[in-house]
Amino acid sequence: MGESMTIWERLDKLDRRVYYWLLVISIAVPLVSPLGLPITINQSTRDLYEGILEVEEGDIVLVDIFMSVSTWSECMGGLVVEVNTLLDQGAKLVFLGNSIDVPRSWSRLHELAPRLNDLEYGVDIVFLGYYAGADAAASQMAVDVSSIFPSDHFGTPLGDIPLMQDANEAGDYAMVLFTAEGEVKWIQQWGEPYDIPVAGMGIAMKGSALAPYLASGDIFGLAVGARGAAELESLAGMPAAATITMDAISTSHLLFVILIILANLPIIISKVKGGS
Amino acid sequence: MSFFRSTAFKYIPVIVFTVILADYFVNIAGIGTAASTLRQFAVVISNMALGLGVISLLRIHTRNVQRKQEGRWLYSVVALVTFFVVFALGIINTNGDQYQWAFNHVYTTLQQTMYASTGFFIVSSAYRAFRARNIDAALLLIAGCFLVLRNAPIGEVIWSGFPRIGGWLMDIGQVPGYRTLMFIAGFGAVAYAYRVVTNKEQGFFGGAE
Repeated sequence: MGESMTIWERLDKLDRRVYYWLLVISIAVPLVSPLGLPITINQSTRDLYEGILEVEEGDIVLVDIFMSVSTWSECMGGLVVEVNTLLDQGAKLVFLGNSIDVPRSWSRLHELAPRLNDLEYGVDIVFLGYYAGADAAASQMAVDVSSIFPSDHFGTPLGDIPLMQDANEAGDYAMVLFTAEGEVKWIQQWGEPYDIPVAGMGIAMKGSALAPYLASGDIFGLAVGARGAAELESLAGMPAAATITMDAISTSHLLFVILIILANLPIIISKVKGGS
Repeated sequence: MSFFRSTAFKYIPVIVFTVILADYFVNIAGIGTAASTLRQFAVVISNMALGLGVISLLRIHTRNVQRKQEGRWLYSVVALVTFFVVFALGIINTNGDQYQWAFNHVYTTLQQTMYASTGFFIVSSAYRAFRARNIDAALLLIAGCFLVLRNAPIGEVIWSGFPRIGGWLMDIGQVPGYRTLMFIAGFGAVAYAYRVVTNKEQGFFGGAE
């Protein structure tokens, strides 16, 4: 017992950089040599993908890129799949974002979904840019988008953009997709009052916060974190960055659980032996 | 000022509340227009808050530099220089190469580094801090481990029960608790609105209760 406790004490005093290196190794090894672990699809992700497949040619979809560049690793892969699938369906897309990073995310999306460059801007897609005001802005956009965005991100008046003539209020849209965060305003201001289907992706830590909305049917589908993005890539047959990172997520998460178990072993042993 | 504080400010929340609430439940053109104008005011105020944030940031960091606050003032110099450089580049041309370079190669990488670094803190705390010293902490840790292994594909490879139990915890176990919190927050918002409308809550314009 004495010797085993010495090991725990040694582990307790271990330089934290050892843990950092363990994490680096656990992420790097599967990236260099993929394990190819199977990814099963959660029902909520399948519902999201199937909901997108129900969009018909010419339908207008609002895409809220409420995603800072730090959350690209979790949500950008899923957004690329959503956009590509919507374009396959023949949908017209209106992008905006409640995050100041939205212009950068827009550029990155163009790099990852290059077919966006082949579309006619103003007819097939529009980028409205950043907006402040959260719920108040979403509520006002439901009745008049042009009152919040007099012009698009590039300074073109909305009146001069053909697509926006048919996309100026909630009733003109077939669907709202949120990215990373900011789902509540669309549920409360568009989904409930105007019966617009709402769905999207959340960062991993938002999974628990979004589950009640999923259970109540306020959102028809949900992809959570990099796992959700990888599931979308798998469903669409477009394996990309999220799929590649899943092995690294597996090994790093396993390391995390092993460390928790190791840390708690002395406490468990002590309890079993009747200690305090 | 006393007129505004004593009388006008009292009625602004009442008017806003009544118009926005009425717009939700009744379809009258005049009310709809008034509500639309008020919502646009809210968006303008939100934008003004960004400017207020800039003023606050400048005040705090200028003060740190002026007082040469130990351990802080050098960081404040960096913050101020960064602010003015990026601000100047943005004023000249937000689509210019220099501004784009600062955004793409400095801001983006810093943001991603910050987010990624949390992984290191979590893995360190996994061994150093996450201890099941009582039954509550033990339950939280066990549930957390199931959710972690549900989220990682390796969990299913180890044991098919991990995603099932993790999924139950996520979709059924925690939903009632979270919904309860949402209801409480909703009732709290209604109670707060009632206090505002009845002039019992004046803190938001600088008055004491």
